[in-house]
Amino acid sequence: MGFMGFRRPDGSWGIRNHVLVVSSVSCVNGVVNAIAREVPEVKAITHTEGCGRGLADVEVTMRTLAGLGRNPNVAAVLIIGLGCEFVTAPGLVGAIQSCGKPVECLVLQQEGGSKKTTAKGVTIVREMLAQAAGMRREECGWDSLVLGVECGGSDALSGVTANPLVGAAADWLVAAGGTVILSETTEMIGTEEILSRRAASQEIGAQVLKLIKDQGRLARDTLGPLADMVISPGNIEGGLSNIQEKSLGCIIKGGNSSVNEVISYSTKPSRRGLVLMDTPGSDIFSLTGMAAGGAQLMVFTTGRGTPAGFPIVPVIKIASNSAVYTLLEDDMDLNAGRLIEGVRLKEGAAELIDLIRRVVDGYQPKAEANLQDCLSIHTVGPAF
Amino acid sequence: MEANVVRINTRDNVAVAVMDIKCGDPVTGIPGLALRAREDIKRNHKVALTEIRDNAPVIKYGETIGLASGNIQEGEWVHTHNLKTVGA
Repeated sequence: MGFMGFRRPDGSWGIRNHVLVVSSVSCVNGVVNAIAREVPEVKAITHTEGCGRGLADVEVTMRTLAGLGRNPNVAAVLIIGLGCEFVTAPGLVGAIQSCGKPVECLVLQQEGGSKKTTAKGVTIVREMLAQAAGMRREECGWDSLVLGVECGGSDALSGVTANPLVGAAADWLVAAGGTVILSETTEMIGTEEILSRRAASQEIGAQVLKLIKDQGRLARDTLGPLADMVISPGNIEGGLSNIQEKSLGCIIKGGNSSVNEVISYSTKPSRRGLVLMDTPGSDIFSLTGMAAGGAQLMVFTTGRGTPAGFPIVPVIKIASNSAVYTLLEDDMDLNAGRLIEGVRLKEGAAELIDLIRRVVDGYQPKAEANLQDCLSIHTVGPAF
Repeated sequence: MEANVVRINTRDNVAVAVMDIKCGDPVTGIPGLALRAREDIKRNHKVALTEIRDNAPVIKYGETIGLASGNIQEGEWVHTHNLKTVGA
């Protein structure tokens, strides 16, 4: 038995049924927000990109926005464009429509300004919402689920309680035929040998090595003396002996399965099982990349406490310790701190898997219910 | 009895203290394992669950995090002073 999802024309299954309004360029964020104010049932996707960047960043922006439109949790998409930008609205329509869902665009310079574009957009999304409301959940298999795992605002217990708990759930999903995306390349530094040994083939193993070594070099080149902060004196004082141990505490949230693929930022996995995505460790960039890669659900552990969620993907928040769970109870879904208070990993994992089952079937975790929608596209070059 | 350590993977030969452990205190929380701390172990630091010979792997998360630099007795604190990093 699997879960109850929304079937999409391309054969994927959503766990939510959102209608998106997306700006192709930041200049029309105001129009997207105006439509969302009038029709609060839509999900507004605004960002800082779309123009004035080098080609590589334009490509990342395009891939990310198209990936969000193609995400199985999305029923229909309206793109708002300006008319003179790099990432064009018709270009995004073209990149999304091959998956078969309704997608339309409005270009402000053709529609005659923000008010007219807003009014027309409101009419379009109301129709899309009416159509989406007629869709019913049907039973589908766990092999249709892509789970993104994330840790942020970590503390000494993240790698002891919350991340091993998520790892156990990740192993469960992989065994059930599903896909788990492990991201945050920075936090894999030091584990390249371990992860490459776990690769499903020699070729993938070589990709794992290159991915993590390149990130290590990038950290040294960019951060200079600060690169040592990847393992800080505070970490060592706190009981972590080296970068291997610290990073193992991060990657354990992906479980112990073999690594079946290495993919670039905002790219859809082509294989099931455990997949590595190249993203920064910075949480919101990472969440955005995994969502654009098609994750329908994300699990996010935190030790210091962060409320961050994502607009179109429910995010389950897990506290690594009881103090932060109690302090931020409105933002936390599960307290992994109980794993040091007598609850066994097996019991905790069963509880998390049960929560995952409820969330995929429609129950809203805290970040979703609280509309803690965060999104950042990981561009790397200068703006011009 | 309240657990004062967590062993993350059953293959691990070290466990993480979840509270300060005093020298001589029993190390608790791992079924079938009875040992005492041979020195003070600070919260979040590691304690050896078995004897780890010089150059033998120190295992946490089921993976080698480094090699013992010198013989480590069960119940000893394991950290940078007696664990050497490999391949970094």
